[in-house]
Amino acid sequence: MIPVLQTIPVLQALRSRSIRSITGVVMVVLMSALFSGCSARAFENLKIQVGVSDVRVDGRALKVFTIAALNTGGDPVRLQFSSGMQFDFVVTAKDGTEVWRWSSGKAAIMMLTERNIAPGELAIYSVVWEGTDSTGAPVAPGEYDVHAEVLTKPRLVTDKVPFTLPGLKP
Amino acid sequence: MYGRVLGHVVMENAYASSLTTSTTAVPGVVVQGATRSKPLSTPGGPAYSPSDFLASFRPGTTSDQIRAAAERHGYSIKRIIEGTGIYVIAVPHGIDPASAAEEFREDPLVEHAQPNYTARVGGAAAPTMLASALGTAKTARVVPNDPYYPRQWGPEAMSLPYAWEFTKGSSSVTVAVIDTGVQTDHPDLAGHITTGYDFYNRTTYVRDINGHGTHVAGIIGAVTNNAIGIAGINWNVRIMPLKVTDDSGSGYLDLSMIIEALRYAADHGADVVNMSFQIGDATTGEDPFMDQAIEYAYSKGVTMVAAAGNDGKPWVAYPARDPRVIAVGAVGPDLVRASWSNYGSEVDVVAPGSDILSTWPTNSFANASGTSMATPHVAGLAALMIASGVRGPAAVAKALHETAMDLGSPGQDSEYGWGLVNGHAAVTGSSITTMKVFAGEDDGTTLTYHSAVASPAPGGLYEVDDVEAGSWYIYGWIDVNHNGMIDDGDYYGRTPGRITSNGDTITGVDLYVRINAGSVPTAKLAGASSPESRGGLSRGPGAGADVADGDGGVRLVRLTPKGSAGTSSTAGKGR
Repeated sequence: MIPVLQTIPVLQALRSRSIRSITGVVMVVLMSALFSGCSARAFENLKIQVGVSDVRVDGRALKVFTIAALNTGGDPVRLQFSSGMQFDFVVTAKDGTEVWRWSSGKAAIMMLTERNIAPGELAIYSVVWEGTDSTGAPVAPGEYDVHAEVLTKPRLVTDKVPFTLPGLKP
Repeated sequence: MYGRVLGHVVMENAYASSLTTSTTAVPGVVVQGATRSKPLSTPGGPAYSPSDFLASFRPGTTSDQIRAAAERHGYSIKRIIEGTGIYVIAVPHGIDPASAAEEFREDPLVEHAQPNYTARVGGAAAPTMLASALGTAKTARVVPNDPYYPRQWGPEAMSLPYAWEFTKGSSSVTVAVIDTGVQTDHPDLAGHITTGYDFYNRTTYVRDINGHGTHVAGIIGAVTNNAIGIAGINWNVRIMPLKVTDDSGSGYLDLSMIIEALRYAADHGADVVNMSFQIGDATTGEDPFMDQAIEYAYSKGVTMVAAAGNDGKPWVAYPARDPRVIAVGAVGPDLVRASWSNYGSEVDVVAPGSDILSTWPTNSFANASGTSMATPHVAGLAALMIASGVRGPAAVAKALHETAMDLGSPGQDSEYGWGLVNGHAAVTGSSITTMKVFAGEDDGTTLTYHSAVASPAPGGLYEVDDVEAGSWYIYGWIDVNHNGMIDDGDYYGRTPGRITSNGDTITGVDLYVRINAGSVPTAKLAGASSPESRGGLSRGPGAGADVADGDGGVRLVRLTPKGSAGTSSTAGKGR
């Protein structure tokens, strides 16, 4: 019923990645990803985009969602969060119905946290989606959208990025 | 012609006093009822019960052994004071209970024995005591030698230096920390860690990549008085680290692992579970499996404590909002609710939550803020209370409510719940409902009362009846050491000015009662003779019934706290 954290070593490492510069692995993800613009106004110099890439591991087709936050300004951007939960990813159907939310099935530590993004810095955070809904049931193949949220006040939300779920093959 | 005085009494702690005004001393006042024109009871009667005494027993003593010990000495067990581990031992007619207690103290199973003192004011029965509160008055501040202690405001705000005189915790009390893990070999934690579990890696080897769990653990029970780092709330305790996240160091916990960990804690002897996290938001988060795990732990007697949430919004996070879980909001060093601390009717209490110094990986210390930090202050205090003999989650919650220092609106309110937790009052069983409130006057050595003696309702509202005509102070007093004297270690307060009673009802007479540590404070008098000055003061339906004291004419009147819908002790989540 409740999605348990996956134990695919490579993707686990990737999912948990929160880096201050682009590494080789993440570069591959980024280069194959679609991006769209950010709707944040409170953080004008912070450009936030979400990308989708396909990864096949051991015969399993997985989606990797990546949020990239680039500080285009000359000053550090300070992101303050009311908990340990800093980002979220949401998959929606074409009619707008929420299909999956990354934070579903997770709890957030209730400690105030913050993150500083230096001028010119690109911060990356990636998670894996296995094509299931928030109860763990498989989602029908088809067209979906994904967007990411930065859980500051106000919450920053990226534009939606469309993608196709081809269906899981053995 | 007798009048009435109504108001609200606050048990203010020393830390709060230091934020406001200085105090004046009225030491060693003897309470007498000599000038009563109307009988209350027998003043100057026996200072202790003629038929029984009180005793507590060493940890691990079984009820059979206790019964046998009593019989061996020729006594019998009358009853156990609920939730305390204190036994009332009956003595045969003709035996002086004081000397019986003295003799009984020699028994190797006996931890402490003393006469069952009755308070002299009104001859009312002695209030329920906790084992650790037995004995002589003690108010020496116990200050640990940990070098960072001066940078910790939390223990001071909770009156812990006074509480530590009575108990420093017990290594037989276990607090499970369901969190990001704990740095188990941290030099200021290592001695207090018991075997835990990493539910991600499926191993008993636990570490903490994030830091949050290590910080929480240090608040509950960093090794204290070891000349290293900080002081924990418990000088003796076992912390069971239960890691419910992956090794990425993120601030996310996994719900399925939390559920597993809660059951694990209940099955592995945890007395208290700390849950410094939020599942879902204002309207989401409830989960049937989590609900079952909470019920499982609650039925096993586990006290669960959780964070109210950090969004600064008028809703309380799950699982904190569950009635079986103690919900904790946060205050800053000014004792004002932190702007980010969630609030609502489900908040039980508040605790220090901003700028909290605690342990951090690796071998370090850090400041952090959040209801995450307030929660272990309460979980740690719950462990101290359990070490003092309080038994069961309902008793812990009730005692936390009734010993808290009221903040915000009078009585329970949504911003502060029942108020700021008070370590000293909690471990000595100094519930506000055990306070005696009365009108009278004193000459510095003798206090004479001129009214009935009332006990406040759990939220602090009181009503003193039968006030004689004249000008009187209003007094509030908890005889913490049960010796019939207002002295060191008691809670005591007096209005700074007199009220004049001519048979009318006087309302809005507020009273601040503080621990008497050699300097008894006078109290503030806020408003007088204005029937509506308190706004919501009223007798609710079904409440307000006079409760006759068993020992004479004292009438204890319970009022309904504002907004509690008719019952005097079950506002909020209805525990």
